[in-house]
Amino acid sequence: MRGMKKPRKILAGMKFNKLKTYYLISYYSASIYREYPLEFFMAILNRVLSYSSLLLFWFITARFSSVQFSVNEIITYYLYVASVGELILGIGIGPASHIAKDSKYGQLSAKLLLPIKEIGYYVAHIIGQKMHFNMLAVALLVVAVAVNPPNLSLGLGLMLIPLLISAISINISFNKMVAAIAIRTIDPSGIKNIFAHIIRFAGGFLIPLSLLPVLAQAVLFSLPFANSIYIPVALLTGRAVPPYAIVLGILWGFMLPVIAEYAWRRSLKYYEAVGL
Amino acid sequence: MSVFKIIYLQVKFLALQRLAYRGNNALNIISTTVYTTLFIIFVVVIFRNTDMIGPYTKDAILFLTLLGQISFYFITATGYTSAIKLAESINSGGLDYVFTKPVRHLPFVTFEGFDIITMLFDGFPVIIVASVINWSLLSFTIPSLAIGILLFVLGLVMMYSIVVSLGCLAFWTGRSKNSIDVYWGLMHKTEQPIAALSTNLVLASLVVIPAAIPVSLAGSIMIGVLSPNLLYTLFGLGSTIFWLAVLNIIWSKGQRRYVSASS
Repeated sequence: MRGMKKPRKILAGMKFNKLKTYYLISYYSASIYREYPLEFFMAILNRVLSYSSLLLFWFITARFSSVQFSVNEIITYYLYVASVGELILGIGIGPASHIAKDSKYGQLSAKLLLPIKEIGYYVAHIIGQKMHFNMLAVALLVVAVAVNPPNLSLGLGLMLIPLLISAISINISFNKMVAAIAIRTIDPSGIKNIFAHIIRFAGGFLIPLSLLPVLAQAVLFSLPFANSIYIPVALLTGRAVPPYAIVLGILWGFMLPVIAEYAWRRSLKYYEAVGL
Repeated sequence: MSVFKIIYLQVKFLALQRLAYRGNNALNIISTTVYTTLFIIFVVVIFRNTDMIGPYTKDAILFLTLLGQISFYFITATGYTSAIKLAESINSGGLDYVFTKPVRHLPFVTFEGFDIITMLFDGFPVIIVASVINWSLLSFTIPSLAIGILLFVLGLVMMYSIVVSLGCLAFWTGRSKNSIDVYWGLMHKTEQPIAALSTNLVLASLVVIPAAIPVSLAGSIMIGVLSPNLLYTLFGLGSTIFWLAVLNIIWSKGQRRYVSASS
């Protein structure tokens, strides 16, 4: 019996250490702002300006056109997009961008030797680097809930948890896939930007997907992008989402990591380590 | 040797560097084409749900989009890249080399990173926007066009001053990446249908989003959606003078804080 417990203890210890490593990577990446408080403020200002201009556009559109959106609805929608979307999608294509840069300068080797997943390292690093956005997102979520509390049935509420987990999984997979392509190029910014633009549009950041033609909605709901922002936000703001979109959204969360891992492993063979 | 000659050689050298990577240039053009196409779809989808946004038709909004794209690629290729380069020079001590050059330093550093390839290649999809506008549905008059073009140029100078001022913050902070990136927030959505608002709200929104001056304000005046009155012209002129003064003050104060790497 004693012999049985020991591996479990080791395993539990290893898991804890890995989590602690990820936490420490995030923590040290975030701690840079202690030295550069103005940078912290400016990053927040950047996001506030982005959302203000988007809100101003939609405020004018909702107020002075016949688009089927009230000012209150559009403000609520973007408050949730800015908060939930930022928490889910806040890392953006940042990890992929860093991987591509590190592979260009031969610095990926150091991360491949770490006793943690290389993609995990980059995700933790970006989460730390963008800690200010997460803080802003939490503040906006509080405002969003205060302005318009989510009115979810128990069934949809329970469905939201796997949807959010799936959204995070989809986002990390996107990063792996972009990194897999970008690792083969010298400058990854083009690939990264193509993905970022598609996610912004097909994810519902630029425009609520409910305004699109029915056929376009059906196509986008079948793709993983919709679950990166729109579907969770739509459920929270009481918008109708077809059941197949929810099912597919969860399924993509399982399927995409497999495809992304395969693409990443194949691309990694092209990487020539420097220093080994 | 004049400052223009040095800048010309610098721009040529940077362009040759960029041209060496054809694959990357092609990917960047695809990326900006994807963005432009999705943005046009965005405008088309909105106007599928409505005929007008205030006094703006679909073509009027597309015209603002065109101005937004032109100003974005111009400022990104000139001011933004120069600001990034300036901040790096301040950090690395490379600014010493600039100070040893027999040219006026501020014009030199503000044009040092002029990336003509970004402007011409990445900005190529601007043509797509121009081609989908139904120009016959837009009305231009000479006075409105003249005032609009004046505000467009003033707005570009103002945005240029803002982004280079943000780069100059590196004199104080050491690191100014996030400060310079405020530029992306400013340029995020400049195609605002502001003419639907009252005059006071128009001015208030332009204070919050100054990048809308060369786009929304200038564009709305050009197509006659806003009247080319003295107030807007003075506002555009005043904003430009203000930000030019800010740039000059930050630059001269920053120079005093700069510690040479070679001395």
